[in-house]
Amino acid sequence: MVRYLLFRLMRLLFALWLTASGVFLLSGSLPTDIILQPLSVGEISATASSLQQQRLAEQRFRHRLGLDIPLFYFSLPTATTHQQWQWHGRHNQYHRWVQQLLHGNLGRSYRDGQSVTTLLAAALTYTLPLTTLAATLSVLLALWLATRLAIHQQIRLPALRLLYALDALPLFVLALLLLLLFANPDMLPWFPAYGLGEESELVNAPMLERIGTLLYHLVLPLISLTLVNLPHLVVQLDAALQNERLTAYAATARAKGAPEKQVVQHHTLRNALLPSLSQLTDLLPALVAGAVVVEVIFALPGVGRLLAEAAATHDYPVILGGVLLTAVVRLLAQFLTDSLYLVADPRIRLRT
Amino acid sequence: MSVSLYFADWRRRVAIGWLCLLLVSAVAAPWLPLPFAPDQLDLSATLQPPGTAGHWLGTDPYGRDVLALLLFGARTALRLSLPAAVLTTILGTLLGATAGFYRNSPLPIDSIVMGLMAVISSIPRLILVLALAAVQPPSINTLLVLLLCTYWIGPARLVRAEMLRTREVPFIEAARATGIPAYRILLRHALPNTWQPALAVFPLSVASLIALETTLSFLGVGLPPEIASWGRLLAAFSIDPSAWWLLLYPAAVLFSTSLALRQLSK
Repeated sequence: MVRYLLFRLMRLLFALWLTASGVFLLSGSLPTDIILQPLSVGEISATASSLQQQRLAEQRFRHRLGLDIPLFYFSLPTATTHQQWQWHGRHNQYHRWVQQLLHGNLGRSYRDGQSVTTLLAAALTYTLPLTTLAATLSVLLALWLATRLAIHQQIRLPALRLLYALDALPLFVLALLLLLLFANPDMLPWFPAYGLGEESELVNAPMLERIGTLLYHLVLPLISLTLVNLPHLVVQLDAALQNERLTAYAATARAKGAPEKQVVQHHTLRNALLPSLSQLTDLLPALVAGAVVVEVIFALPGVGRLLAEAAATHDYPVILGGVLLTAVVRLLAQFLTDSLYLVADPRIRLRT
Repeated sequence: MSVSLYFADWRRRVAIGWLCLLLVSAVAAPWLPLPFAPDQLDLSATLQPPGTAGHWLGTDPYGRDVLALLLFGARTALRLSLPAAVLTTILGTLLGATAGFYRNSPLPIDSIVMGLMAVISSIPRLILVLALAAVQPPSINTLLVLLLCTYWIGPARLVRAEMLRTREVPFIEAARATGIPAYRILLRHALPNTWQPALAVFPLSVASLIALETTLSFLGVGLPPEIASWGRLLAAFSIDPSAWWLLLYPAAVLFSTSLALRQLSK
């Protein structure tokens, strides 16, 4: 078992390294002018009057960001610079980046110079409650709904059709529709459309009130994240329950006079949960990806919005940090699922 | 299943009708007698509700006609998702079939393909494409390549599983026994029996690609801003939530297209 988990971990770390390196090296192919443009304009034009001074200031700036050294260990022959393969040794951007990464340093944002770890940590305080709440809500709701559908077979088909239609709506369209319906002064102004409430009002408020305001602002984002993940979960669970429904032990339970509710809740649900557990591995990363869309729409200062803004402004230290964070979430989800399997199915414990 | 049985369901006929209508109007959009061009700015008539001054579906914050933007947005969505879906299906089928077929051979083809699939699926697709698109200059062809790199794993996984079943079937064994070279068995005997699952999910991958394209455009990543897209219309709505026509029309088109595509793969 330990070997299996270690193998999983190794593969995931390899995946992490490959993805991050891919993003890093691809980012090197982007002309540096695009990155420099928004941030260097102020600094460079403030200090330089002549063209030569401007050139010098630009060079200093590139040196500070570490953009003046080669990107990788070697460079391919190109027509413009040189004709043959060139070996640069350890003095390159990639080596420096990996070294920093292994020391836990993700670099600084190109936009405001803040360290990426600080930015991500601050954003996580909003994204973490959002995603964990959404995960709990969707799992509980899916369990309840699937059990209901198994007990009341007559509402099963219409309900599944409704879920099927719901599944066809992309998350951002669903969130925008909720925004139009429930956060609109012309329709139903029940919930706030943006942000997390006034910061100044909340500083002195008691803890309970602060949590209450936070939850009130998170209602619509939570509903959209839950609704979008619900169809997959319910359909999987429902298929598993349908399989268990016709088994001999379920028939035995019915024959001894147990009502259908008890048959489902005490007998078939436990066995149906097992094949549905693997859904959890995909649920958490899907919620993180969903958080990107939802946080942009509802203007929440979380990781997803950070990532989307970084993507729109080519701020790739932040993008790389976000990608690494997502992969870590995936890793945690994988471990969670594997250990839940161990808890739920004694056969796996015995096998290895 | 025979062709006539496939068309027996009325829902499927409606779905095919809608998709044909969308395809024809998207292809013919530049030649349709529209009252306004999609790139025609009119700063005196911004955010007009539907039905005013010849704008049947209203205008966006730059005074562009929503109907024209919808039609040209359909053009963008199909221009990106159809080639991407076709290419990913072909690529995924070939890679999945090869991986499954050479599973026990000394060449590590299967473990390489499986490893690649594990790498690509370890990061959510939206975040992966978002990160990769953000470090490239925005263009429709770059996005196509990125989608190609990330979407082939879906058909590949299905075809590989199917191939693992097919390679044990007696007629493959018979082909082996007669001494036909392995690559020929793969191409002529095994592959024609394994590509159906990839075809079955083809409409689903088109739907998923359209959803991803609109999401990326909504976030302002991937496509250059001058290209009309449904996602940009919805982004305009999120800036001004009182302009309901910027949400409802693109959402309805997106929803019905997605539903129709799902109906096809049932």
